[in-house]
Amino acid sequence: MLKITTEQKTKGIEIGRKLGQSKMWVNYKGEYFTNENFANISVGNDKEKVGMIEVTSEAITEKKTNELGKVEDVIVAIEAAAEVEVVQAIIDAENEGKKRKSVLEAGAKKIETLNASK
Amino acid sequence: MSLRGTTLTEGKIGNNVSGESREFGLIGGGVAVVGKAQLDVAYKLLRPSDAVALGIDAAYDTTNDVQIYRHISEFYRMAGEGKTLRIMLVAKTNTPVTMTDKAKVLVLESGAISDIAFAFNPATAYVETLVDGLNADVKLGIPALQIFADWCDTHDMPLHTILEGRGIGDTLTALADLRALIVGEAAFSAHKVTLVCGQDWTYADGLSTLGKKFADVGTYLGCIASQAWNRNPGEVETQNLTNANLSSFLTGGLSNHKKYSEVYDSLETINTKGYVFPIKYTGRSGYWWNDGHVCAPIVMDASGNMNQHMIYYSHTMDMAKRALRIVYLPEVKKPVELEAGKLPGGIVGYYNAIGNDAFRYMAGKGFISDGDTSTDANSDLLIEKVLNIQFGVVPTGCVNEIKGTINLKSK
Repeated sequence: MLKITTEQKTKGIEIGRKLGQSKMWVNYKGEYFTNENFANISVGNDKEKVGMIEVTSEAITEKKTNELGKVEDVIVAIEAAAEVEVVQAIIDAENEGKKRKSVLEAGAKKIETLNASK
Repeated sequence: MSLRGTTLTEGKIGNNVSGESREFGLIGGGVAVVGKAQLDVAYKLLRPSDAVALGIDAAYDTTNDVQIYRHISEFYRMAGEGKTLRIMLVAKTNTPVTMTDKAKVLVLESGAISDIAFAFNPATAYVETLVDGLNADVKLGIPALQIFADWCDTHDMPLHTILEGRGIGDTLTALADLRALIVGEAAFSAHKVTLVCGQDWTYADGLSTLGKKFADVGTYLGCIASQAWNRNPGEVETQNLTNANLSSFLTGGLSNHKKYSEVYDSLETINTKGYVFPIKYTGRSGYWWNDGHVCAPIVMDASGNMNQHMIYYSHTMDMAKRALRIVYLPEVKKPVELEAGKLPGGIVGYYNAIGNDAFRYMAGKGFISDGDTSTDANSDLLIEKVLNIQFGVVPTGCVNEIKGTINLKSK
């Protein structure tokens, strides 16, 4: 797995957020992908040259609070999350920061939904 | 009795339904010219000299490291002088996404723009970031342009958008599939967006580092303007891009500034993925656009309805809408006699005839194959006051490929 630089991570999160992605992939050439398959193809299937960026959780946990987003943005991120751990990271970050009721409720509901679908 | 002997009076001319009332649009990053072309202002051109009068000429492009006159001159090279091209320069810091708001002003100038090209001329310090093999701002621009086209449609100005797919990546097998776009992790159909990622390689080779990655959207727009709206911009008989006298398109290429011959092996793949670029045909001299792709999958439902999966189907839908709107508008607010609250058969036939006449005219001109109008006799014209009519249009077909079988015979 490629060691991702801070610069690449920041850029990946920025692009991923704009594209509404929860995950992005980056190759050693600094090219970003929304699809792991295309990322691997871009480096001749050498997976050592590709790294994954967790857009939602990385964005939230870096600052330890949800100051990065308005309520609507954070709820959109919750809805887009596909894993309980990602949602939990958002909830934890929210509890560290503003503790907004609507965000916490949306997070709890999403975790319920994700658990139910397992 | 007049002493004039012969009196000739000009007859009245009705609404233009020939399709020739179309106008075209071009918006792109540029720099204001003192006393001439200004940013965020719409200008109407009829020939390249109109652009020159605004201070936009070949030297303007070179000085400002943009492709604006290039697109205008290419538009008129393919379309011929006299076509209306409405242009707007915006600050070079704009991306396709931010250009869409400004493009609304351009479109509202006449409401007649059927196709608009978005030229992406970034500022000198711009750093290209690739996402799924596309420039990140171009990739973000695809859904934004579809939303812009939807806005135009809901304001009765349906149009198609052509986006400059500048700077595609070198690994063409890893390019995003425009026929299966994913936005926000969900499928997204941008049937009103065509992504052009081809260029006149020789021309681009003389440009700056940024310029080398441009795509010839003006040429593509010119091809569209040169032909009836139901035709394919890649039509072999009429749309040869090469002009040896002008040294135009002597060598075709992609917006990663790779020549046709360098990327030949990947062209079938990116054609299938919905990209637009120049190609050659063995046995003929010149380059042609590969097709009229849009950023949408090909869909046909169980009822035989199909989506606008090619630019000429997008045009057919738009122009049919515009023509039907014109012929039905005079019926609005008129009284209608009902029988037991329903539309009598004669009235239903009257409304059907209005639409069918418009379809017959378009079919007679060869713009569509057929069309059908079906008025709902149960339309509530008393309380809701809405006349419900269902239209069906059968577009003209297109020969994209000829497959034959050939044998040597002894007799």
